[in-house]
Amino acid sequence: MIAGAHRRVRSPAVREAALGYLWVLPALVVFAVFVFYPLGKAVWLGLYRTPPFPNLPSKYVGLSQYGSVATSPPFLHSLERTLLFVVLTVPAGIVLGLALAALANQRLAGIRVFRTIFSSTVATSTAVASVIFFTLLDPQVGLFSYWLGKRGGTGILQDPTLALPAVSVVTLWQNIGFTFILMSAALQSIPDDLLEAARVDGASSWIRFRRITLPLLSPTIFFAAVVGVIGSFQAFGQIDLLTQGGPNNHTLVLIYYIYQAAFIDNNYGLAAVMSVILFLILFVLTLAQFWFFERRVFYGRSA
Amino acid sequence: MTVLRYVPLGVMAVIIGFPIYITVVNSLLSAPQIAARPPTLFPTHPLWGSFSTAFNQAHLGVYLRNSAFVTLMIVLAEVITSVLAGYAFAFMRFPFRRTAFMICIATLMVPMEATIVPNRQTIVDLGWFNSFPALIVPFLASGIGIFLFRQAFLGVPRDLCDAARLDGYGHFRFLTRIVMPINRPLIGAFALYAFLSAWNQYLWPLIVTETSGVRTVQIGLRQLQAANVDQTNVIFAGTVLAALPIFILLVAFQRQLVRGLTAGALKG
Amino acid sequence: MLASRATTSGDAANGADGASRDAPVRDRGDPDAGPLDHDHEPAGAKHLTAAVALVGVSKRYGDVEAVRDFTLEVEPGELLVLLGPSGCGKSTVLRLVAGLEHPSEGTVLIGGTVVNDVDPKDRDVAMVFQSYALYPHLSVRQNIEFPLRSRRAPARRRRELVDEVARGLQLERLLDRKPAQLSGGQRQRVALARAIVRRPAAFLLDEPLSNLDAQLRLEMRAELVELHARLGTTSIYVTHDQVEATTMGQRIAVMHEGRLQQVGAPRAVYERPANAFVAGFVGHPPMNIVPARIGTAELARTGARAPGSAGAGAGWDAERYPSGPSARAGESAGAAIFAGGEIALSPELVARVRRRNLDHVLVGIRPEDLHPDPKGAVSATVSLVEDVAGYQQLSCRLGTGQLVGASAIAGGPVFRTGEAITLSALGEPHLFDPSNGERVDS
Repeated sequence: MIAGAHRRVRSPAVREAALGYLWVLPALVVFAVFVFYPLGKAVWLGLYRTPPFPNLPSKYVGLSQYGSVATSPPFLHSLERTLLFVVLTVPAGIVLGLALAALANQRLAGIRVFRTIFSSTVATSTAVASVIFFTLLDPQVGLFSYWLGKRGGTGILQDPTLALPAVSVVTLWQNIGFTFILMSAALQSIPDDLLEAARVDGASSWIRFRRITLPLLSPTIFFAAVVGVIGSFQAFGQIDLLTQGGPNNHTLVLIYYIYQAAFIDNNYGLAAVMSVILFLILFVLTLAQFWFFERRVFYGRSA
Repeated sequence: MTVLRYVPLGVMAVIIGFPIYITVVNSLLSAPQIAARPPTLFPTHPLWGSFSTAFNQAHLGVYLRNSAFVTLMIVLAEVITSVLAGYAFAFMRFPFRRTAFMICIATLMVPMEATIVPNRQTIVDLGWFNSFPALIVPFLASGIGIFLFRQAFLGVPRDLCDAARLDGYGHFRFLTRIVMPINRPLIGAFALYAFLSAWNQYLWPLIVTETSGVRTVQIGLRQLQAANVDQTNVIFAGTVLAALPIFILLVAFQRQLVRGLTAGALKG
Repeated sequence: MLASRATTSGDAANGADGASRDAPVRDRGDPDAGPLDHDHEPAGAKHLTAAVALVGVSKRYGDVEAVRDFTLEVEPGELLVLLGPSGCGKSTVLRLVAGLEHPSEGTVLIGGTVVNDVDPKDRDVAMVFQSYALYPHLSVRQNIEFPLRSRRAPARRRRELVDEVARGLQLERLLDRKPAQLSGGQRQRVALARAIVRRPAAFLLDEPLSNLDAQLRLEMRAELVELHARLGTTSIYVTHDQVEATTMGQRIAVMHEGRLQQVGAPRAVYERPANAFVAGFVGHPPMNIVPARIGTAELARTGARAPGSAGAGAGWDAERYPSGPSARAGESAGAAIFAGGEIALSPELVARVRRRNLDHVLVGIRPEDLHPDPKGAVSATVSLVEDVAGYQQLSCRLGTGQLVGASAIAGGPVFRTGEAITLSALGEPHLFDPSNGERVDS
């Protein structure tokens, strides 16, 4: 009787624990199968060199493949292209987004129309934006090619020096709506009395922006920067639709290289190694973002 | 003076708005009209035929339907699994709760892009290649959703939970009658984020589908672009059709937009 | 009996069943015994007739023991106040009764039935929370009928019940509002209504008034007592406010560090605190507790201090204590000596002290019993004077540096900070064993 009573005392806790596991389980199963298992498998695949011809067994080469890939010229070239893409898209995006937010923050009649236009690109997906620009940049019928004096001849997307900048502009355009909305929200959260006090003190509008607005926006700017960098590392659709890594590998960013290696060249070993490296890069960036979010957004919001 | 302040606004509005404007205009022109120079910047005699061509011949209708189905399933599943897990982490006591939560958070550190090679193999092994499960099942759970909901649910006063228990409500009914209604704005914002990211997926659908019967609209645009090089009007009409659902959604849910977008930004 | 710290004092009607009440609740032989080692208690024990009873209940969170070996019976229809400082475990006791927590050891009974493994919803108790715990997205009406909905009461019946309860609490005109649109007092009423509407076997109220402002708290105190008188439902009321406890409770149960210290009528607890903690906690301003040495009453022996009686000590009130030292003159006279002064003790007290082999005691004197007296035996310096209608409340510093409270009767001299005075005590002091705080004459 004592034992029985003892067990019954615990039973509500056991029931709750069982229900808890039941509710957590679906997510954990999905994560196990589609996040952790493939991550481990990618690391493991990287230990095997894919044979040059199909149907031959993969060769175990240990960590050596990681070293050889990480130092190989094609990989380094791809990494360099990726970093250049990040540099071309992120800072410009933030500056532009901030400028638009500042412009749209004025008290003017009809300002809502401008806000709508500035944020309109959030409705476009990468594919939508890319297809639009691909057609507008077409050397034969593209309107932009015509205006840029590039009608006929080599198209902008086919020009080795212009391809990556062009892809960056498309990316910039597609992301500007998001950056604008983000910056506008931050800008509107700055209390008016702060700026009015500075105005009373005789500060010019530039000084007010430089000394008050910008410091208060710095968390948002940092946030936008990290999100932008991560997003640029993951940019695939625009490369696939605009240049397919060309011309002459000039837009062969890391993620597209992985795609090519895995699904066009069937070189799983190489793709896996690069996936792991991409993971490590994004891991560090996400940690930075997470640290930021923990500190600023949630605790700031709930407080 | 006031007029001068409109100048930079106007210039930026033209630069940003023009691609969308010209897309809409071109979707109402014929292919020769689009190619004609000087260009037509306003369609005096709009032609609506491009839309039906894109919708029917170019399978945009099928792609849109596929996208809608896949996206709705993902949003529904992600909201359900995230709310349940977030609630369990916030309100229930069970061994290894912290560990399980850390595992969910750790998924935020693993980008989809880094695992596509083995994941595609898993899909092939499961016999799901070129099918809807391939597009849906890997996204049945969301680490960011679990994180968001747990944080929000922790803010629900503990006393409310106790009061509901005394009032005769178990965990499930407390969740559906109290916790979810209280957190409706956040659930809405998360659903919007989940919708946008599912709808805009490109890389994953590209590598696990191969026929138009299951392809989503983003991949459909790729097919459209490749197959209709001469029919630029159809291409433009197709992009308009692909963007329209999102455009309507964003107009309808403006209030949730900022929170939804920043929530999603936790994971690229 | 002496080992028992939880002493029911005063209430003679409870004396019938000494066995369960005086069962030693501390220093049990086997601290690891299972929850049912109370089986050996006499049949028909008090807790079977009680409305709510806890028997030997402990609650541990990891290494922290929030409630220790807690035994308490609440009589049917009684309003019992559980009083203690914050963190003493009183809310945990309430949650144990509600079923929101499960005891690590011991038994919880409601209406004579063991409910340890009964779900909160099936215990037929309603709780009112300090935060009110109103559902913010539901209207007042929906809040009140929420517990009825889960019990699948038909809609018409729900409506009637809600209307009736709302009428009783003057909430009729607020039924369509949301909690955010209500004042603190109105929210409090809605929380009460939600508890009442179920007609539970017992109400559990967890500091229900502490979020209200002072004026409203006074009103709600009266309203709650009236409500209890009207409904006659067994109620356990948790508070840290001893004024609230003594004014509202039919009995109060004082808790400290997870243990029950004393149960009894407010007056009884006030007059005979079971230990130094209760003595210091119940009563406002708090009782002065001064360490003292036991010695012979020097002044009493020389007779210099005794008003008309050879054996009397400082300020002895022969009228209130006719069996005091004066009546037993010649028996061993003792005194508590402290701060350069002394207070004489009755022979009974001295005998108690001797029986316990104490050289030192804690002397407890309520401020209202300590007065400035030119002939007083204890010298002190006035540090603060507070004018309360009719009399002066004094804070005085003893030679040892300790601050004690005293009171000066109306019409007397006006005291000033820094003034040197002597004090004398009225009535017999409370004496406590310094080693464990227990009342010496318990």
